[in-house]
Amino acid sequence: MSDETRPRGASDTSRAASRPGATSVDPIDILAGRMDAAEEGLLTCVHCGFCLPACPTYRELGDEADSPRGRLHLMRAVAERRLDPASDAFQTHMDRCLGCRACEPVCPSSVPYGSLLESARRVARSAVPARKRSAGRTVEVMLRLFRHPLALRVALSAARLARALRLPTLARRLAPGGRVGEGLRFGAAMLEASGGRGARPVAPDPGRTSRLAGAPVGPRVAFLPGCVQGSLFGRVVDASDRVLTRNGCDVARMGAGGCCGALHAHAGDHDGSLDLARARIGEAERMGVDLVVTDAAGCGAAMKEYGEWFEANPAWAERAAAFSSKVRDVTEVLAELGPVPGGELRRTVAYDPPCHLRHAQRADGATATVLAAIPGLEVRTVADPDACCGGAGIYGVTHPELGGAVGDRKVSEVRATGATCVATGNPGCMMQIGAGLILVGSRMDVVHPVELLDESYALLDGER
Amino acid sequence: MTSPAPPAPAHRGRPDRPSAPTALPAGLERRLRDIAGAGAVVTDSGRLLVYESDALGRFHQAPLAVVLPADTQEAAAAVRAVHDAGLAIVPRGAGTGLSGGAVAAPGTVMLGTARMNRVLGFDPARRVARVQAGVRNSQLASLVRPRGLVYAPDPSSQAACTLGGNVAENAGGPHCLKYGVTRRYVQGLTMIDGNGTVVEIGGGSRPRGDGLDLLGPLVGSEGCFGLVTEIELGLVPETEGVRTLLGLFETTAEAGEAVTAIISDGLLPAALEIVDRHTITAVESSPFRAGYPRGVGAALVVEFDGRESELDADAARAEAHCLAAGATEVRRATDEADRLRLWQGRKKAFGTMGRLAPDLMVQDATVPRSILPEVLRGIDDVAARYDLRIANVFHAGDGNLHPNILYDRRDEELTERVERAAGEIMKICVDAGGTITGEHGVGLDKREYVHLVAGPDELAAMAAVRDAYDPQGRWNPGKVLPDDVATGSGRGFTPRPPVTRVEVSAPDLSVRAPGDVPWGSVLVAMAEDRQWSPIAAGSPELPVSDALRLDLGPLEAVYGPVRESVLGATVETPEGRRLHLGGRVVKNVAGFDLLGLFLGLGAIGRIEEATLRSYPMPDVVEVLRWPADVDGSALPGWPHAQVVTGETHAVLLSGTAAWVDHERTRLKQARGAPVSHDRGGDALRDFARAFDPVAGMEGGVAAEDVCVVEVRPGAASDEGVRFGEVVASVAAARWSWDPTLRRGRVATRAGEAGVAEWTAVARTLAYEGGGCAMLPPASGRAAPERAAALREAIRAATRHGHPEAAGADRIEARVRAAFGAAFGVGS
Repeated sequence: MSDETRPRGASDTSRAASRPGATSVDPIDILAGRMDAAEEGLLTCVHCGFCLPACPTYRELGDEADSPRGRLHLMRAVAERRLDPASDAFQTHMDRCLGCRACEPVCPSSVPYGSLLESARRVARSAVPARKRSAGRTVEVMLRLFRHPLALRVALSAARLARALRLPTLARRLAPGGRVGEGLRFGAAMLEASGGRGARPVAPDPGRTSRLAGAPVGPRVAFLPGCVQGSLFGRVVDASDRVLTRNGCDVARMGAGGCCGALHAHAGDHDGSLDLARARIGEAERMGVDLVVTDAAGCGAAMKEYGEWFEANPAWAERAAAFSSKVRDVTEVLAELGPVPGGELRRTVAYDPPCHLRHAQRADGATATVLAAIPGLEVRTVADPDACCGGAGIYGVTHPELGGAVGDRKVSEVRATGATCVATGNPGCMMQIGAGLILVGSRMDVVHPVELLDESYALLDGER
Repeated sequence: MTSPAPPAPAHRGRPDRPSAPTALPAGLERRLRDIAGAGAVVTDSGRLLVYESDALGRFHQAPLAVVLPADTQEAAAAVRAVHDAGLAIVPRGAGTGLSGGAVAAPGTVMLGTARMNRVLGFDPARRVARVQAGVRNSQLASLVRPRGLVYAPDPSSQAACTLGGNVAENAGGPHCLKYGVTRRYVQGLTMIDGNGTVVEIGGGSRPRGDGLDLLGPLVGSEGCFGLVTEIELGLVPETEGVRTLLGLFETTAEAGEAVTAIISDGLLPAALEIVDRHTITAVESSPFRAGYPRGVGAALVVEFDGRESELDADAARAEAHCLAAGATEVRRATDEADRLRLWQGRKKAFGTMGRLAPDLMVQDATVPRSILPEVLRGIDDVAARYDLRIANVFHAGDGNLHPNILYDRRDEELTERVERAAGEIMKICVDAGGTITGEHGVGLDKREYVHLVAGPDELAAMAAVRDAYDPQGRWNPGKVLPDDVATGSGRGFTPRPPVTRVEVSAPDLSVRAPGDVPWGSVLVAMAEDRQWSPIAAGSPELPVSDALRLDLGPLEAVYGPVRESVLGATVETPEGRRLHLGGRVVKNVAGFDLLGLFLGLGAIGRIEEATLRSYPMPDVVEVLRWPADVDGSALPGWPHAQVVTGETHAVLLSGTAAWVDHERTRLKQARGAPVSHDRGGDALRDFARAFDPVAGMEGGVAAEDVCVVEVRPGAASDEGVRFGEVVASVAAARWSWDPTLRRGRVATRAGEAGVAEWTAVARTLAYEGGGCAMLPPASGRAAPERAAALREAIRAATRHGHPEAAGADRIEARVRAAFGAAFGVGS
């Protein structure tokens, strides 16, 4: 029987090769260095298949190459040099993953899928010139943009202007058919969705709500507005700021347009992600705060992983770990403080947890605590809360068909709750679900959970 | 560039198989894409790597292509295309199997069921669901739970594994101690044969009559008989409550003794699971810590389900047995979260072991449960001699062991030691009266070990039955049977010495008896050990061999078909070969399951001796009778055995006194006071006889020229094919009706009921999607030629509604031919 077995590819490459600080390596070694089970590498996967039903792309397509186990198998084949990282199989299936990490909580061996995917995308990215990558130039342009705060601010301001001029609505209606047209239509709908009115009917106060008299002095907080959140969802950032302040936090905002590097890491732009991470670490150190807080689940998940990103880099390891230990989602901070109750808000809201809060940070329980501080609010859970909405950055633009299919499921589950608005804590998800709702002609609002608490506080203040 | 392909595994198919093609034949890819859509066909060599192994991970071979059809029609078209290209097909569900069963043979096409994931029908009233093969086990479970129903088999991979795969492997799970394995719940299915023809087998409305049990061998056939595309599955009612205990012991032997004590006391927990010291260490050092105290050498999970009022007493008895066996501590779950915590150490065992070593050989073997402690000592000894870490996790109630050997396959010497140790463990289990696999199947992994449990005759019979289902060898070549079926000398297989008297083994819940002793004497011997069997409840005078040709009648509603009560048998085939089938363990998926072919009214051959499953003797047996026209619709809860005849509606209650009291009260509330109320063994016999219409005919069984026909109305009709009305068209018929299983029997004098009248009845029923079939003359008394004419008329009329039934008839004819038996054996 031994002739039927094949030894697994032995790897001499140390894990350090995959880590920042190492000199340039054969890209395949990035994966080859991540084999060992003892170090939570590819061999940790026992191939049991428990992840298959958790995976949105597998559920949609039924092809194991689009399942977590299948992708890990392809990664291993590359590490074992049985598969060319430039091959269509590797490129397509690494790219097609939503990165929702719903596979992680169901894995009996705790395979660090998200981190392995980032390594794999690094390999995939370096194996093929930019113009040939399956996601194409859209992603490359965006990644470059997000590395430069100034350029990013210009671009996002342009997007805001376009939104104000209702150009997305126009574009959505005029977009041609076909794959490109579908992508354009969805992108336009996403931008349109970001302009929703949020929870507060009118912005009631010009400045920041001050801390309640007599409220305990809470932590000093560096608040990361996030690049997308900060520009397109300014109302959410303001709401977070007010709500944190009201609950006793001393809030200072981090620099506008400063990106956390999550998008780069997800796309395999390793150097880009590390540069941005270093910038954020330095910024937080200068601010001298107790906590680093964000209201974008994707940013929070990445910043909590800075420690791992720099693990093998002696110059940064300690600083990165210290930074990561301070990172919290806005709802986590509020839940820890025990949020001050607000005024009665008679609304029915559907709550859908972002994957990066639920699976990556495993912290979506805090949202329930936040919403529970709102008297009168009826919270309905969206069925199948483990499932991704299909947001995954600009997946709906780059993969209109698959993203649309995954998104349609979520949109119909959201609508099935019968709620008047849907709350989720990540800008990508807000735009994705919002775009889906717009395209089916629904009038449901999409809000961030803190917006509801903020509105509840506004009502309380109004009563006084 | 990709590196050189891994060496092709040395699978060999059947000897007549031509050498495997290495490329997809021209035009096949296009044809498959036309059938299933472009996204449903994989031919790219990189993508195909993903399909090169299953959850065992030990065997690697990519297929030439993978096709993922969405329904039976697409699957049948794809099979025809592959058939036309001359290739074989390997079915695959979710690839969660642990024996290499879903790994391709070289030069084959893989057919995956992942996109066949729709539930086609769910009838809560009839407690049945019809699903496509790719529906996941937990998907069905969560669909039916809101209606108070449960799909009982719960393999550990239930969140991911498909029901089609469950059928292929005859999957078990922790709760099958009480509820039985997959086979018990498969009522019918749609399969595609090697030519791409769709064949219907079984199904709620189709009578078994004198037909062979074609479903039994299919369940557990590991994809070698055909592709199952749709399955009709029985469901059970959710129980009122559950009690979970965790006993902590210093040694596994003590835990094993507690299990024996619990079973011997007549308790039947829903699950009895043990994890050993090594497993506890692994779990406790993982992120899934279960919180066992230091120094614990074994943990026993005992779970009872049933009626609230009885559960506490059962749990208290089990706790006392644990303490008496030496438990240092017994914990009781107080709520659901607590219950999951107690299960944690068991449920997370495999995954956490994956973190201890790069490779894990997950073994699977079953032994009679009373011998567990000895076998465990034997395994410890093997671990010591081969210097290996072997962690044991097992379904102790079934005697189903999972010794897991930790290793690193990059170390060749170690790997070789692991293989030898695994072989020794198999030998130990087989020598102890067990078998080589209880639930994971043989696949590629254990083909050589099949020699330990089957001799040349048994292997030849298995191959012949496989070939009867798949004459051209199109399905999953190279699996299950060893390569040397024809030439193998039965290496290692020693049949058990023949039994000369009834042997009861209460701790194993089994009894072994020669075929020629009267069934009544078996019941008497069992009663001495407080054991009981539902077989032939009304006919103690029959010899064992004949008793096993009857079905259980209305008792099937409670105990399942007769196959579920038979663990193993020695049979003589019509051509005079003696076959030793099955064994003495509850879970057994070693090789193809031929046992069902030798049971029931259509059985092939003669039973020489049998090992039967026994049940703890019910404390009380009671029969309540109402007038025949009382509303007999099923009450919620566990089904009752019921019979309606022209005069009365009878319900059998058996179990503990408290259970019987409770059920009697419920029935009285629903149906009013019964007209009669009998207790004891005679009541049971009278009840069982009520279903046998011959017994009620004037002149009794002595009457000449009596035919018995089994009738099942279709799913389309409600209770309302008024059974009596339909059969009343046949002169002088006597009938009985089982409202729980919705089937009836009619006895008539053949001379009075003409062929034309019966054809009309059969047509009426076939129109409703149901059917009827003649039972063999053994249970009637018709002259053979009259019976044959009647049988043909009924067959023809019934088939009218089921064109696919012809496919099943062809398979049945080939199976009978394989054993040299003509149709209608039994006269």
